[in-house]
Amino acid sequence: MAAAPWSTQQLAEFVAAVSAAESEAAVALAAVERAADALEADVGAIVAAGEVVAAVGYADGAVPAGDLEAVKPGLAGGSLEVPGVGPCAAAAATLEHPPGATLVVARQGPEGLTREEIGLLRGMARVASLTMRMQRVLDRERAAREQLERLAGEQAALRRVATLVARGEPPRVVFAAVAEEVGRVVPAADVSLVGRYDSEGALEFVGGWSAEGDPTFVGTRVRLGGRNVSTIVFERNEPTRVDYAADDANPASALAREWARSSAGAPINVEGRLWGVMVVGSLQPDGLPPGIEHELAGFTELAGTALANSQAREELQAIADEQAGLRRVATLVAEAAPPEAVFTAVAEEIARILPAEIAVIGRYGDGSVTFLGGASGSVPFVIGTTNVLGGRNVSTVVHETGQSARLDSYAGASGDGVEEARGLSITSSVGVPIAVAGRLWGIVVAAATHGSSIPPDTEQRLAGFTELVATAIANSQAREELSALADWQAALRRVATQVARGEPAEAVFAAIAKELGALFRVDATGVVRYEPDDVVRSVGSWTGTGQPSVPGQRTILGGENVTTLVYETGRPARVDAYAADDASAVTAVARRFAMRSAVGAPIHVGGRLWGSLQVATLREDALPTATEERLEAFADLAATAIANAQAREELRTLADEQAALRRVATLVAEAVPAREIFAAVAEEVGRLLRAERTLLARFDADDVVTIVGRWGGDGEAVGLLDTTGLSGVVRDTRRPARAEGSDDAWSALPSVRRLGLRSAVAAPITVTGRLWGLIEVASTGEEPVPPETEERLAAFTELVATAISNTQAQAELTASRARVVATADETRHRIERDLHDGAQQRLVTLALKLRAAQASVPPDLDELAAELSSVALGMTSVLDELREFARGIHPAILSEAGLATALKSLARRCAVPVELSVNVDERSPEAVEVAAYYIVSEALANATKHAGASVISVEVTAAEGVLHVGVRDDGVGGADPARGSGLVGLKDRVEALGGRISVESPRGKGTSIRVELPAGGDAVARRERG
Amino acid sequence: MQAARWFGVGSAEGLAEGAGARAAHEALLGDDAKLLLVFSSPAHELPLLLREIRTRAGDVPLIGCTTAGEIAVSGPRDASVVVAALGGDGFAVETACATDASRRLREAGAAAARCVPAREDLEHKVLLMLTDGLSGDQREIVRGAYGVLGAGVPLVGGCAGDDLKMTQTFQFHGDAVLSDAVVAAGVASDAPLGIGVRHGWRRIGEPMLVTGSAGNRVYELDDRPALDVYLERLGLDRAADGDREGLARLALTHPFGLSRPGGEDTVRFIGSGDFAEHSISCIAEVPEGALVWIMEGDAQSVLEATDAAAGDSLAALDGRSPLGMLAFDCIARRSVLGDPGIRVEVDRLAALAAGAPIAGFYTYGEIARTSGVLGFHNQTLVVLSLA
Repeated sequence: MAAAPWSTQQLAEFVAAVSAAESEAAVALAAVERAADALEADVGAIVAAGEVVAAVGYADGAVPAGDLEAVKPGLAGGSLEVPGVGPCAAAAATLEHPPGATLVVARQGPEGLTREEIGLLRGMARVASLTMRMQRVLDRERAAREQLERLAGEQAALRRVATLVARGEPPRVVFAAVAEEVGRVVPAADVSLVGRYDSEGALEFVGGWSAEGDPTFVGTRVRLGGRNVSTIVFERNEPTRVDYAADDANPASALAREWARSSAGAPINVEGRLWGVMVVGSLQPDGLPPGIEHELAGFTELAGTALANSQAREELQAIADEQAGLRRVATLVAEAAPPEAVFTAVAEEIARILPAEIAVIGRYGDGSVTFLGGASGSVPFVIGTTNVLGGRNVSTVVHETGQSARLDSYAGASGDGVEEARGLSITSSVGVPIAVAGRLWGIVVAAATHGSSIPPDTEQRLAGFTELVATAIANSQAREELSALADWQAALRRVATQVARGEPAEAVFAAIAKELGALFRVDATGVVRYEPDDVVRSVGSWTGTGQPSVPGQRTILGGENVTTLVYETGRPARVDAYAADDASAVTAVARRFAMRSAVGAPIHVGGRLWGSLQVATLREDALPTATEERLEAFADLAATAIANAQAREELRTLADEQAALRRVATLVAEAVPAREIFAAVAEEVGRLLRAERTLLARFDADDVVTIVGRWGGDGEAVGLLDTTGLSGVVRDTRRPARAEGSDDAWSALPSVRRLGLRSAVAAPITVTGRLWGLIEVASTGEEPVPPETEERLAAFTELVATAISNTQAQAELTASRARVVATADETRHRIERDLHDGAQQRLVTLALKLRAAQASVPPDLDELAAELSSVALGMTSVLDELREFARGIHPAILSEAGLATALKSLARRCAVPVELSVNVDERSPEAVEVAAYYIVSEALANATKHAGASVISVEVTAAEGVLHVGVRDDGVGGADPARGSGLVGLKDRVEALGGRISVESPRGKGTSIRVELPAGGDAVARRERG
Repeated sequence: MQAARWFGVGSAEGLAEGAGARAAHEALLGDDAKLLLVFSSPAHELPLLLREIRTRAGDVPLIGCTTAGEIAVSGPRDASVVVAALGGDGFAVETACATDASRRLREAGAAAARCVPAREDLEHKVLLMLTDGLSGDQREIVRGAYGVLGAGVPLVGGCAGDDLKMTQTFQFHGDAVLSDAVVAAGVASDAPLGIGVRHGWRRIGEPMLVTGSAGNRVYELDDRPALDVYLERLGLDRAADGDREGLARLALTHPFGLSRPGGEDTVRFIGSGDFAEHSISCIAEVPEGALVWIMEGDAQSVLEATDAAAGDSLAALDGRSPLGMLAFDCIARRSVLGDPGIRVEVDRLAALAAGAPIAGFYTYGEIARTSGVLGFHNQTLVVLSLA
């Protein structure tokens, strides 16, 4: 092998080695090693601006950057004294990267590098430059990515810890989690821990994590001191970092050193106070990343939060315990337990909550206090003891001052019972007064034994209990009242239940009236509703006298009675005696029932006066003074019930109405015949408005009114229009009209009388701005047609109008299309006729004349004869073409021989075999036959031209006034009627005749066209009949 | 005035208890030993062996390793233990070790190298390194050591063996038996230390271009599967497929050679082949783009190299007679020489050493850096003579 490729070979190996390096530093090191290797040199180095980027051949840390940099790039080179080698020849090559850098090699001996070797060195320098530059970019990217990943990891870790904190896990769990997450997140961490500073200058490790598993230091305690993270954080309360020196003998430092070569820590502050420290340590030679101590803040904050939370929780727990105690006592009080039971319970709860051995409740009597209940733990304390007041003791001081009193030492105590207290080893006590209805009733005493003391906030905490005791006492006094209240509550609950169950308003009002009777112990009650025009209507009533109540009665307001007074003032009202001269209708009713005293309270619904509640008595003495207040409270409930019931009713009405409207709208959208829509509207409206009768009518010319739909009644043919007289009003005013029984003239109408109508409402139907007709509802019920009827009818009249305008538009459209088609057919027919009678006849005549002329040509004029013959032939062919053309315009054969013959002719001319079956007995109208003819013609053309069919079947039948045309082929299918084929024209033609066409053409499965044509007469006329 | 120095070698055949103690006893010529070198058959109960030696020698710094054959004055052996000891005020020694070498080859080499005594008065220095040849590219270890020491301190040593089982080798440091480790002894002496490196292999046939390789593994030669090319070049057809042992035998005597700008070609020991992916595993890196030759040797060329290496090392002693000689001899050369041949080789070394004791072992790779940055060799004999 020749030596020539040596440098190439070396460069190739150099490239391979350098490109395998994975960082800029590794590239530099590989480059200097390979360069030295390739050139048999002892030294290789890259130096830049006095700094050594990479070097081999010198002992660690002894690379003479200046000497290396002094080696000149190029052939001249220089020399270097290398320790352990001696004088060396040196050579250098400039690197493009890093800027100003050179690649230097030095080889033992005086011989400089050859030209070839210098060339190789330069090549290697260039490769090294490029690779280092590329790697620098990659390094940066990698560093950025690692940073990002670390951040993401840290965020996830923080989130996990935050979840624990939020879940209220105990601090122990949070510390362990924080330590572990920090350990895992911080690069190079081998150990992490959470330490708590105590008041004695020591640190207790309360949570920890170790890369090796169980952190054994958790739970240990070390004194602070020396130079270590825990101590520095304690002193400065700021993040810090320490790389441990081996000579610090302090225990904290020694322990730290055992676990870490370098460590970082950050303070944990709880509510602004230094609580502890988060420490992370590394045993790795390179230690922790710089600045890591500042990244611990997120974790220490979470740890602080967890601590603050748990402290707050403990405080809350204490409060909760107290609250629970209070609640237990309150429950007893509410359950009307005997006061003695309450006293015992209070004493027990106090003993449980306070560090008190004894808790007793005493009642002040005449110069004495008697202890009625208590809890005394292990101390024998006799309930029922009575002590005479006097001397220096809490019972006496509380009795004298009415304030809390405290005895922190029994040294100076005196008076009855003090000796016994000393005998029980009581050393301190607190007394808190119990006041019932503003008067001192007794005392709660808490006492501690054996030198322990009662906490300073005890008085405050006992207050809640003394109030309960007071309540229990007051309650027992007011038990009577309480039971009344219970009845009241029960009544309210029963009514509320009915309301909630969604029972009808009448039932609820009746129930309210009945409950009022029982609660107020009165003789009559009522619920009334105020209506427009100063009318009041009874909606619920009850009497204790057996006299019939009169629900639904409407009365004109007025006079001196509670119904009217409440109406006028909107406030509760009372009448204790009805004036004899009061002739008002309402007072008359009251008087009729012999009521003497009555109270009423307003019912406000939705901020407006809706009605009132009333109670009345037959007795001589007036109703009690509290009646107004109590009735008003009940009125509030009634208001709620009414509001609920109304809301429910409105909702149901709305839902019914919407459903009815939707049903009608669906019919309209389906374009069902108008007659069906009218019938549906009449029925829906009737059901919805609970009217006995409804009808729809159309105003025709000459004041004729045609009934187009009706519902209800007994099927009697007599229309309402004859009877109600409202149609005229609606036609004249174009507005809704109403008639009621109070209108005597109306009531007197014979038909109104005959049908027993009591009220009616009619509303106009307007179609595209023109009055078209009306809709009317009538009722025989005592209740008039509801006031909102006019409004509710409007929605239906709109739908009716839409249906009508739709139908009209549809009919007009069909008619116009039929006209268009008919006109076109007519024109075609005329052209065909013109051609037949004109051009065609003339051509025939000309041909005949030509034949004649040909016959008369002398025999010697052969050429002329031949010419004439040729002209005659041409003329015949023109004639044929003309016939064919005329047939395309209008099939004359159709008019002459009928559909069957015309179709046969079509089939015969078709290039594809046609199986034709025509089963038609009578002639159909011309438009229908023409349509059928064109359908078959178009279908055959399509099947032949586009579908590539091999056979076509055509079937035509007439049945029940409908002509059925079916054409089916076995071609490629895939015909799309929407895409500009002749099918569109066919569809227009069919629909113009009121027929239907359907095309099925699945790809690969042939095409099937089915057509139905009404053959009985004019399609438009038929639609209008609908 | 030179301080006193001594060098002794002891060996004990067989695996029986007491072998270590006997060898140590024989080697310890003085009671001021500075270093023990232990080369043992992997068949020994190693912790026990070290305990025996240290019971006899005390806390003298110790490094050593398992071998593919032990070398002593009495001749080359298997299933024996050889202990070399050096001592006297003329020597200063420190040892170091680095574990988990395969994970961080360069760092391990650098860590192990930080044990050369900083003794200005003892101007001659050498770093003795014993490594685990199965832990990866040994050149990285040597580069790591070179990076620390620079050109001032020569490197000498070899890769531990396991009697050609190629499964696991052990290194000794103090009383520790390690694997995947680098152990080293930094020796400072007031008398010269001479190093000789020769292999005695020659190229056969045309060169091949390495067209696919990664680290120690060669995938393609001349754009074809490396193993196929290798076998073809040696006249073997596919019939050799799958015969791992046959390949190992063949590879011992037919390493790769990489061209060097001057001096001998670099020899690359072929450890094994992978018949599934048709690749070849070497004991050190074979860079992509390199030109390689298949090399061959015979008893004569190998023995000539023995003479030359020993001669080079003695020549470096500035005319002094040797105190002792350490030989790191490639297992592949042993394969070429055969059992009678290695007997002859050791006799020749002994003759050249002129009665000075010899210790050494058959290696899986040799370390010797005297000039240039390259310090790792294959199929080579490295001789260190101590004056």
